[in-house]
Amino acid sequence: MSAVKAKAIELESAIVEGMDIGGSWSRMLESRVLESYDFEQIDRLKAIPGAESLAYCFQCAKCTGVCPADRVGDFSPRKIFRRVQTGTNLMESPDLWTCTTCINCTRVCPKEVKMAEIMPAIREEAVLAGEAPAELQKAFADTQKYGNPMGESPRKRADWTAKAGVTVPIISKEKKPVDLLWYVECHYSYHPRGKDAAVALARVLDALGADFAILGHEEKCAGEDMRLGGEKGLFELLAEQNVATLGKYQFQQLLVTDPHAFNAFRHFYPAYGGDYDVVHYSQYLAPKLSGISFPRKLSRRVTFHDPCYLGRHNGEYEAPRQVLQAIPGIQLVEMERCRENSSCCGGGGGGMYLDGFLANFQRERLSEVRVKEAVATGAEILVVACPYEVSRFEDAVKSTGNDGKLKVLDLSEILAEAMGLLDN
Amino acid sequence: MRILVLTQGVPDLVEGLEVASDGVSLDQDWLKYVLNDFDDHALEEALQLKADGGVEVVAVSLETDGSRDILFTCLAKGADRAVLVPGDWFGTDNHQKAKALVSLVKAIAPDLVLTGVQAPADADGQVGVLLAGNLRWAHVTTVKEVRLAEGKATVVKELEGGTGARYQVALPAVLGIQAARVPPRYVPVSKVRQAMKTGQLEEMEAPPEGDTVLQARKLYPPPSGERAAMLEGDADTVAGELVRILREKGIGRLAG
Repeated sequence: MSAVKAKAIELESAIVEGMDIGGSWSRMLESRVLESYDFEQIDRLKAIPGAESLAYCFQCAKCTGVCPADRVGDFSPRKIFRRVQTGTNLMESPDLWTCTTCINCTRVCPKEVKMAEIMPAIREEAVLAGEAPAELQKAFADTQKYGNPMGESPRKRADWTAKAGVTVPIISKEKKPVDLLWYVECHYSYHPRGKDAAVALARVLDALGADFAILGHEEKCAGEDMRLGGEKGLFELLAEQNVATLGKYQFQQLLVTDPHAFNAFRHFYPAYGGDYDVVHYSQYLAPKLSGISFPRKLSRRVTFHDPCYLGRHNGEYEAPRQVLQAIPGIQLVEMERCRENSSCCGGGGGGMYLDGFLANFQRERLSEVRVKEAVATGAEILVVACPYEVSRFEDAVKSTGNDGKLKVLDLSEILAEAMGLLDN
Repeated sequence: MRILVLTQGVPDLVEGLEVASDGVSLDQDWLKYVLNDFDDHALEEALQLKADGGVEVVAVSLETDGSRDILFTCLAKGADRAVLVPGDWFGTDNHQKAKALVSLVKAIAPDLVLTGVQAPADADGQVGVLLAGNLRWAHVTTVKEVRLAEGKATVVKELEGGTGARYQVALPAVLGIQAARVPPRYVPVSKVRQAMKTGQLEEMEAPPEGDTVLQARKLYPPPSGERAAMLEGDADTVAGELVRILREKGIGRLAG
């Protein structure tokens, strides 16, 4: 991929709104070369519905200071705007695939440049033109075929329940309404470490006496990464299929483990007829823990990583911390960047399927940057509340030479451990 | 120039395959059909030739579960026409398929037929060869690149040991495609949906002909061997053990 720079147009003099800005009229000033650019690229992008706000940028660079991708490479919304303004064709640039839509930029932007809207809109055009990186296309193709981006058998989606040791009811077999329909999602269902967390959460729900069920093999990827990666048609297909499936069953709340799916169900599924009372598992668990007695004390120093799609996208910072603080003995320490300023693990917005591609443009992975911050707190355990993160951070612990110094656990795992539910 | 791409749906290997109670066929209850990967390469090579210019691509698929989706996907990828061949093709062998397709190929009258070199359903790899024989057309198999010029095809055939050979082939011809010159393209779902709304599937009859030549006597999963060993321990222990085994077996040249 190569970026073609536009040539600056040099002018002897220019009159803007009736005023000669060339400087030649003043004996105090040297006559200067005026530069103007061909705005074709920025005009083309801002005409794409959803991408308009890219053109609002006035180059203050507040985003550059908080953009996680700029820590490991040369990327921030300000830089993107400037490159496009000076002629870069974003459709052919790796910059189009670098943003994880963590929206720390939008948090500080005075002009409301919204990368979480800009990126999917522009990427959609690239995907339709066949320009998406191959590994992302593979994830799209597998999700289209199998309902999960790993290309695993849809039939085996609920196989993890065999190790749960407690009954995990499948709603189609229950034939009765339930309080909680648990949307397990792909990484909890298939990834080995995700399955560990799913087993832990199943045991916790069982121990709390929750009336819950799962969809089993009827469940498909919620499609949030497909939407943000620019495969809007696939997202729509999945949303329609999932809304039809969920419409068959009666439940009070939709319990969601993956913050990305949580975001999709809260903000995007209503447009497809799927309007649910959606709750993230940390939000469900937090108020349930005051009355229970923990059989053991976990005298551990832990730190918590705020998932972008639970925190910044949905404003939930307290629930996971309340869960941790309910556990006797836990000492919670915060990382340098936490809560609203939490630093992205690199998995969102399609990033989960771009590690190989982005390695060509970044000095290290975002998950490695984050793990170093966690180690710096002196914590023994890094607790996460998003199914992408256990595997991302465990890999990063090893690749940064911190093996043995930091353990990575899902919130459900540390809770189940304290409740004495992981002994078999 | 017209290119016919012959495709078929094959059982998706992501699902664990099970042998049916008759002991000679697959249990169809959980079978999901997907486009044969080699046929996907044949389609991609045809679309590359179309991009080179002056080529019409006609995708043909033998009916299976999912064959309509396969054909709409072919249209979304860039095929000009899509033809479904109705019938119960499950259990037919490649001799029957190759006989049945003769009249269909003559009716479509292509200059070139591209098909996947084989399919995982039987790994027999003979449809292209037999079809060319029945048509008395030229045939090259394990092809990994096709170029067209002056009414002839120049093809690269993959040979053993990493070697290849370049042939000039008179048309019409049938080519068995091992791999396209670029990986098969991904087609976004919205394009497939668009094709489903606006695209037309033609249907052409070509019922299976003759008796099966090959009779399966027993179908069974590969027996698992007993020589696998799992290495356990931390990274240093496992690496050390691996080096010891490689040295013992005389595999590779290790320093020290």
